[in-house]
Amino acid sequence: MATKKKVLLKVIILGDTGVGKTSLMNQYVNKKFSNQYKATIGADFLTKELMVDDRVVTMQIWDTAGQERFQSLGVAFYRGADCCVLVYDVNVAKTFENLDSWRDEFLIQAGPRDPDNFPFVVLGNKIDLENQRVVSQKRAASWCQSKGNIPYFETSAKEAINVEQAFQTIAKNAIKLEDGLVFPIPPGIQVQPEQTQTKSSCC
Amino acid sequence: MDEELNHVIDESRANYLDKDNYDVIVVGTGFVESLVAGALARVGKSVLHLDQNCYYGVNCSSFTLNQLSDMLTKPNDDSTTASVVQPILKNPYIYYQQPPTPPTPAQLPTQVEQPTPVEQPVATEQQTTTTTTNVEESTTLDTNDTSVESTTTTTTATITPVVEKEKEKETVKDVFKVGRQFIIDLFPSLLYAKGALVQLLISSSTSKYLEFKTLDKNYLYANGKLHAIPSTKGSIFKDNTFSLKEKRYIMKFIESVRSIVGDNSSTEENNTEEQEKQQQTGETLESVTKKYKNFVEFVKSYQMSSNVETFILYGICLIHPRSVEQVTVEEGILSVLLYMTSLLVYGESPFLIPYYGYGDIPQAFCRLCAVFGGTFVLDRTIGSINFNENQYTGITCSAGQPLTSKYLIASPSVLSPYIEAANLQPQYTKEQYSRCILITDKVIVNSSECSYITIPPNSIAGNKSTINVYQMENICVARGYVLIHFTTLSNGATARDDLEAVVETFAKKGCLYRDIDADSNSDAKDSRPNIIWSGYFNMDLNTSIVNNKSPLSELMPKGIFVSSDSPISASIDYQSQINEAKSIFSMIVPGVPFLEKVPDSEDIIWNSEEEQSATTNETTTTTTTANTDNSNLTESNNNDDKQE
Repeated sequence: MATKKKVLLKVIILGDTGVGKTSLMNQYVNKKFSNQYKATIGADFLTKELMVDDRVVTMQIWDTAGQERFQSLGVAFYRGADCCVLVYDVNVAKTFENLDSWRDEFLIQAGPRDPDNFPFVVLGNKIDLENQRVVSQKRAASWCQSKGNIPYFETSAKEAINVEQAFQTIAKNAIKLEDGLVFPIPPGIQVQPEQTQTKSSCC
Repeated sequence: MDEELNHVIDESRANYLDKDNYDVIVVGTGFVESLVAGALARVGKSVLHLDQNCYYGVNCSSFTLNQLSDMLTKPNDDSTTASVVQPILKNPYIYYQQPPTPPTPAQLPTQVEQPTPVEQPVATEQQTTTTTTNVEESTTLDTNDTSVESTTTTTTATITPVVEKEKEKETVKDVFKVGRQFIIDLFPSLLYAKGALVQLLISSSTSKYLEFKTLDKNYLYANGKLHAIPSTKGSIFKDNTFSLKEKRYIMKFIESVRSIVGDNSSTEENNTEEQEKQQQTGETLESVTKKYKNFVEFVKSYQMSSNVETFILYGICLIHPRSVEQVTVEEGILSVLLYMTSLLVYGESPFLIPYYGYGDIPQAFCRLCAVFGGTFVLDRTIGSINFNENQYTGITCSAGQPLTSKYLIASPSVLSPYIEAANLQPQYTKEQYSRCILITDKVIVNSSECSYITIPPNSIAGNKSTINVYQMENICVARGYVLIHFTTLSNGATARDDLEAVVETFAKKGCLYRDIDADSNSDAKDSRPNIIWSGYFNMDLNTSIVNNKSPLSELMPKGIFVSSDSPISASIDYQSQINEAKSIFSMIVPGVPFLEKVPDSEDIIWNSEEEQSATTNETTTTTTTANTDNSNLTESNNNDDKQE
């Protein structure tokens, strides 16, 4: 196609408080894990460059900054998302049951142009605590299937299990969405410090 | 029974905050409140930010078409809540074109004819008890997607969200199917590329949360015509609305303004002739402020043509209070200068438009606040305010939880019941605005997708105050539609009274086309926009700042600060709102820098992470917005912000 593809992908991570959203992105981007639970403070977004099918892609992974706790994520958070990652804790049933409402919330707030084909990825996290597990892989997989075959990964941010693979799929699906747009959205300008004039490609 | 009751109590307490003591509680996520909340969290204050709505922004928010239509057709039910829910859209009125009669399938492919709006106007007076013939439309318009999706016969378009054809979406039903793709600002805005708000977004690192588009063109409507306002020297000389002599006047005026303020940024470009002229004037901002009563007088002293005067007073100086006489010399000069310095920064135009609507701006500051540990709860507000003598002590929030804080920040509309109860004389200024939001199938200003038009008083259909018009295409709209905003100060008349005639002149008669004389031309007629949907409403906005003071705050019990709920002012820059946020901030934390740059998020997370020893595993949700964490964050930021 004639137009140059957007290589910056915005990925947002949703899910109940405490399921490990921040840990997952830190494990993926910084290869670090902290055992101490801390309600998300200071987590904004992390960026990582990766290769997807011979293309260099910059993935920007946005954390909820704790605003999910009282269902108070504003619509601005969802703007321009290329992929939505839904995370639950395999050891806490409620976090799995809430996936439905997180998915709905995303579709309402983000208002993607083609909701049926918008890329979601589901991560069942904290599988390292296997003996406490309450949500079976089968149950989660069948939910994903019922929502239009959402890719499903069982992860452990702590043990770095499946994290790399999951984010690779996330990037791949996000890029597929961008490629599939009949009318690509022209990118906006970001205002930056002094004179580094961001070249806008809007005409 | 008791068990049941306990259960109910448990349920309601499930919503309780884990932490009940904060440094600051902010109520309302409007422009000023969000700035203050972000700034306070930034310096380590614990902030709880509530909003009575389930969305951010109060009067500074953006809505989908479906949401806006709901707000206009189902006015706030005041009886349900104790406090006043903002925003209040007064005098709502909706007009839309009647859908064409259902075509038979055979007619479908050639169906191009549309009823002209003039012949078949359908006015739906907003009222829940609709007794007109429009009941059917009203109900289908109730904008639940489900009702719109229901299989009715009138729609000719099969909507696939992405691919649509030109002729198939000219009815109101069709536009509501893609209504969610609209981002409609309650008060749209322009940001000067070098204006206070853009500077603040950059210096506070909140710009990373936002995207912008440059405005394509801005216009002045004068003498029944639209004049594109030239943005470069080159385009001034190409322009054919001014005579050569008038162009010289304009250049001379601008140079003189530059020299008065002592702005030498353009010296290199100046030829010697201009430099000489500059030296001749020898005026300073002080001397001209003494010399002239107001900006109008100052402009008139240059003895230019009235054309040029209008061009400067309304097209380049963008401060539009009720009367142009209210603009002071200093304000006017600085506004002209801001306009000039903002040119060619991000594009030809001096203006940026938020890519996803103005409502994202307060949210950017709220996110900053959250990143620094602020707690956000929407759909929750003040139940009552608690005092000890004349000292504020805390609130009981609408969920029934008592909360304490040192300070409370809220706007007059949130505080008004308490202001009245305390028998205080409110000293904020209240302005009423009239708004019209118009959705058309074609642009009203051809040749540019996103435009801004200033209409001076008494220019069109007897308008009393300056009217601002925004045309949006390609951003904030569903594909194939054009969104047009009209805003003006109201003198107590309804928005419909203030704006309908203007809208009709502009849109229906195709008067906004630059080539107005082509009215008789059939091509021009075809390219006239059809009004697909329009909504009118009034809004009252409170500004609590007078002369950079907050008199209302002074009258309030100690610990309460009053913020304006107005996202706009006479000037389109945001200096006054930013000043207000700064002044509230510095009353709470005197001498502390306001919204300093934030280090990269990578640094933030791992700085506070390193020192941790592994302890217990993840347990339940504990709101650990501890101060220690925040101060760690603030100390680590001195790397790259030496601008201040």
